[in-house]
Amino acid sequence: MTATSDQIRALAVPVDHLRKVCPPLADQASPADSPLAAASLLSQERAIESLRFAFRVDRDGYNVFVLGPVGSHRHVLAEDLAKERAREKGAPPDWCYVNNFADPEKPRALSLPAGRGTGFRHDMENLIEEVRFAIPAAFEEDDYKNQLKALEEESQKEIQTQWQSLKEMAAADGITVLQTPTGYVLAPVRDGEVIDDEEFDKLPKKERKRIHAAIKHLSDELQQRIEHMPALRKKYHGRLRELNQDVTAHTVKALLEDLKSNYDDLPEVLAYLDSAQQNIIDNAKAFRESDGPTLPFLAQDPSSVFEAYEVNLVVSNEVGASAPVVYEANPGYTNLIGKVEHRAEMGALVTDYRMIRAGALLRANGGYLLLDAHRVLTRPFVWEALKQCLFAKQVRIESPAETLGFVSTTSLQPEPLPLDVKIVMIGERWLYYLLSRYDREFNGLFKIAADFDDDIERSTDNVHAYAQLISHRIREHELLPFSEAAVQRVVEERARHAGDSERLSTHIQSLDDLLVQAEYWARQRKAGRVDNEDITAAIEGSERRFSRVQQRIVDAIQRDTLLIDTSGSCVGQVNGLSVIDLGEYRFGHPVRITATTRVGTGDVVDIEREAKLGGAIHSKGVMILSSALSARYAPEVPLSLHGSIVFEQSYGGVDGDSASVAELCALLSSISRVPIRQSIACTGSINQLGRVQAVGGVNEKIEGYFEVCRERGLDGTHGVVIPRDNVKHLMLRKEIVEAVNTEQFSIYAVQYLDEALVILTGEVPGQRDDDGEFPLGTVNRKVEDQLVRYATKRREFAESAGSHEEDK
Amino acid sequence: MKKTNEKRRIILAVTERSPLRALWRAAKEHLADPHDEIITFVVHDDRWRRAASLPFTREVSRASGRHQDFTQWRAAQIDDETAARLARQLKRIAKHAKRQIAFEILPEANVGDVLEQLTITADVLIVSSELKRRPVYAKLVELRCKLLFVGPEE
Repeated sequence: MTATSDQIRALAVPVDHLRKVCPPLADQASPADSPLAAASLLSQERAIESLRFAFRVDRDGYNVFVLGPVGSHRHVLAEDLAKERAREKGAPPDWCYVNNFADPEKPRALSLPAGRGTGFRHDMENLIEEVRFAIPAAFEEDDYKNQLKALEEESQKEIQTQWQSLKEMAAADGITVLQTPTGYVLAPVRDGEVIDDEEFDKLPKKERKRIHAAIKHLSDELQQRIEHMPALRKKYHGRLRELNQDVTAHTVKALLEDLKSNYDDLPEVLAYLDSAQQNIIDNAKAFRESDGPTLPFLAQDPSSVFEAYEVNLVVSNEVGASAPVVYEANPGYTNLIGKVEHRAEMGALVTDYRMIRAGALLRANGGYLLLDAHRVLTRPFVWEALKQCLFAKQVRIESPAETLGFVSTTSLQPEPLPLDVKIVMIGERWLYYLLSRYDREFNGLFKIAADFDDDIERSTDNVHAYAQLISHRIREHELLPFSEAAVQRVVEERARHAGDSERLSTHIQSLDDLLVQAEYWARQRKAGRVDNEDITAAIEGSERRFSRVQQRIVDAIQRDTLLIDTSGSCVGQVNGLSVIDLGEYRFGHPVRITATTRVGTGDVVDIEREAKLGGAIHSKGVMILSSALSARYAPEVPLSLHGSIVFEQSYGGVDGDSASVAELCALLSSISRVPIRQSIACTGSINQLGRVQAVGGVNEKIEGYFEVCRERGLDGTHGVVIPRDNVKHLMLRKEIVEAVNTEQFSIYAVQYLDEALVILTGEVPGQRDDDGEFPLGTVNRKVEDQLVRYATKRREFAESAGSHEEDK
Repeated sequence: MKKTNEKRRIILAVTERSPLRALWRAAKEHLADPHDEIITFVVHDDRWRRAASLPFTREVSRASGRHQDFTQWRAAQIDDETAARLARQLKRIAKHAKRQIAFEILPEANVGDVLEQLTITADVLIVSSELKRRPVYAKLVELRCKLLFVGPEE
């Protein structure tokens, strides 16, 4: 039973529903003042409120994860909001590392009020400069020289006394003390001359014995005095050191008194200055010798003496400044946590506290740190290190190898710095959900999620707000002015980008791209402002650049390499619509779906699934349509059908259920032998009750099929069946609207399977009458009759097979 | 008497206790021509040999206080070291003054005879004054050349 033209026309989508045009804007929209104001205009209040809430709750774990697509200006908004709060908080303290004189491998951390770190560093530099000259000068003073001379004379006198008394003892016994280059020789003398063996032998025996005894006694005495010499020298050096320390202490104290008065309010700094003072006093000798020539090779550079008192200012803030807001674009381990650098010295790597470098965590300490989630997660060790710092509320600057215990060599162990930072992690939604699901610590550390909408409602107010946003972006990029028509066109394109005529995309990056490219075309034609035609040129140019794959598919269809009929009718064959997503560009194209049927056991085979080319959602769609088939037709007889469905010439994966209406229609056509019009393509999913449901990418699908039909020549028979629920999403290209307006192309919106069958078969599907029967000659009657026949055949086959068994 | 236009020969006699710079200054006062000749004799101190001849003398180390026998070999070693040190010092002084210097070592016992021969052609003999207290003094004063004693007290 053929459907009437009225029945078909009733399902056609009116032209004015195909593309929702932007109404005239009341006046030229004034630009938004800031990205934040622009975001507010874009109804991102939920995300903004979340961020503000997170920034104001100064409690552990109230870090924030900003969810949203790339290009939605999440960074700018989060940064603006962080700065808004940072202005209220004020600058945090400065941090510096100083030498730990007691244990140089464990440098000490000192905190000073904001802005005073630099002053402290300069004060220490000046102090050392002064000490450097003051100490040698003090040792050049006559007072010191006199004291030193007195000490030396006293010491010398003591030694001389020792020798003199020994010499006198020896002389009394007729013995002289001779000095050799390395020691002493005791020898007997007569008349001032040493006697030799001949003279000695001539002496009386008693005298010889006396000399023997005297020399032995004197030798022992000499040995004792020599052994006492180190003690004398030690005593002298001890007194000399005391003298030097007294002189140094007097000099250094005088210099430090002034300095200390600057830091009366900072006990830790005063304690450090005390330890530095003591260390200078202990190392007075090094200060005195510091101007000597540098010894080659292993000699220590004299200037290194002063370096031990330098201040390594790792975090510096300005007085009266805001709390820091830091965005770390490259959050590698060292960039985030900090590092201890090394320098090569005689083939070895050496370091000290002056080579400690702060990472982003410390630079943002007391403020806000913005990080890209995917970068944090893909850099080795960073995620674990970040969590550890947040849990411990301190930053310990060490290499990952040290953290993991892989390094056994001695290195610096800087004192950990207390951490009070708000982390703003920016990432895509799937990352947030993944972390929530698999990292048990994540939700405890990131209690706030700021979820940015991908699009907003296309209300009158929002359209006006969007126009303000466009003006803001134009001003931001310093573009030529846009005409009202151009702005209207941009608004329409933003609806197309959202894939919904009733919503507007908030993807700022793609908006910027469109504006910038349109301005390029305006400048190309030497225009003073951007107009509608420039927007068109920008869109077409962009599509052209990305359209290689699409064009290859259209060409393949034109050359009958990909078999797509766009005219005539065929049983069990329908044009489905598929979308290919290339990231920046999506396009639709027709695919041939075929179905075959025969007597069977009630199963519908999804060949895509069998070949492992079908995704789970596609398989689910086929199962649903199979169920819809069995529920709808001949419910009182067993479904004795074997059907199979396939996407012809599809060699990649197939997923989604948007082809399930088309698949079911192909199946019904195969069962009923009612042919399907090949000039019509179909998209939509179906539920078990035969209700057609909305699908994605409807604009791209229609445009893809239109492209193929236009290449072959539009004759008024071509069209697309879409779910009625998708009509609100229609934002089709103007040429398609024009083709529909001139009845060259049609778009039908259906709510139920029967409506789809009307368009695809051109016949009335038929409704069950009071007896529950479909009218004769209708598509549905033909389907039901065939299914009953299949059941009968199956029963007969089963019975004949049974009797055959009995005969055996 | 020698003619004044002939090159002069000046002899320095030194010991380990001689004030070398003072001796050199005295020698310089008598040098007139760049080709004038300076001959230095180091007079060995017999004290070491005599002390070493005694079987019971021992050297006590200044560094450790330990004893060891003081032998002739050790006495000779001290003499050699002393002579070498004096030679180095004198050569350094001469080099600084851009003069050539000859250097000989004499045992004290032979000093008189050797000097007697040399002073026949020498103009001046400059002697460290502490040799006045040594046996060789008696021979020195009998030499025919001009004799100068130089020391802290001179």
